[in-house]
Amino acid sequence: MFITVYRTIILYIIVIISVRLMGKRQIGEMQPGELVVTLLISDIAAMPLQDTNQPVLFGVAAIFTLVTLEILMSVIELKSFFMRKLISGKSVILIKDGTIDQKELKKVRMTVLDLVEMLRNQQVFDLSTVSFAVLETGGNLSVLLKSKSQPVTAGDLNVKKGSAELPLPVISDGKLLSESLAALGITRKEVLNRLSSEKLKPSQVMLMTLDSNGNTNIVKKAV
Amino acid sequence: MKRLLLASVFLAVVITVSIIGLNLLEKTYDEVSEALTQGKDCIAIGDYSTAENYCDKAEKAYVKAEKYLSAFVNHSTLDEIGAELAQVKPFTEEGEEAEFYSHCEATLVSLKHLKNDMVISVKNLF
Repeated sequence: MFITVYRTIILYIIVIISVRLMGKRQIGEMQPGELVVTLLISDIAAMPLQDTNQPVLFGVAAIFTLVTLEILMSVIELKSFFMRKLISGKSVILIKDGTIDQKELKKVRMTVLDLVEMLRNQQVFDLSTVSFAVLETGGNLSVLLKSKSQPVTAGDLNVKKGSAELPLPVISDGKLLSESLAALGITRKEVLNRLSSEKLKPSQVMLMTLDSNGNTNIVKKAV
Repeated sequence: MKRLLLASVFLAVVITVSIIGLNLLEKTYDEVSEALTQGKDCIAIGDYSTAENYCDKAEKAYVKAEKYLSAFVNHSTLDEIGAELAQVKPFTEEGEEAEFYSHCEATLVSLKHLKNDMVISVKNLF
């Protein structure tokens, strides 16, 4: 029993290290190869847990080999366009100017219904409004609407807007986040002054965000 | 590149540990095999007490290595070999030569198989 707990801790650490080494891509954004490697790692990690007769090193060796190969492949893909095409494939244009490229659709083994479903997922319900639809290597569909079907932007209307600033959390659960303060170029004292003007202490704040324009948003802790 | 370097370091550590494991297994095989061969020679000339000492030596060498080998080898395989080796010594006390030889050979063959399973060969790769 204790052996299982001990092994689980070891493999948990190994898997966390491996996933961190492989990078931050989310499941949905993974290349096919990355997905397979991730599934393999989870399967291999389970082996020494299920069978305590197997040395943990069997799992660790296989996991690190897979991770190294995966990282090596991604480096090769970065350096060589040919290798990228070979390993991850290439994006395919499925719709051009409202017309489905049936030949390409056949090549990627998709039915028209699959394509229509993917378009609907992108909030596109009328095929004729699509200028380009590209099936990405990760399996997602990117859609560019025809200019007449694109939503109106502030630029189209010549409306002047202030530059958008990124609000950063400066207090989270009562704690001042020094990284955010440094990024915004403000001091602790300034934040505390703002809080005192609201008659608040940091310990009473659940979340406080601040942007470089000085806009503040404070969420108080529930009493 | 930093990630690749780090992953390569981890892999290098794992490979080094595996090589150490292989060397340890070879050393254990040599020690056990030498002790059992000498034991067999003693049995052949009827020197049962010296044969018993050699069996003890083989068993001690194996038990000492077993705790380290368990990091590289399936534990049930190690247990089977250990059990086989433990059966050798009683036959020197009872003077049953045929049984003694049979268990000695079984132990050595199992150890040899174990060693062969760890080396890089066409059989192991495919």
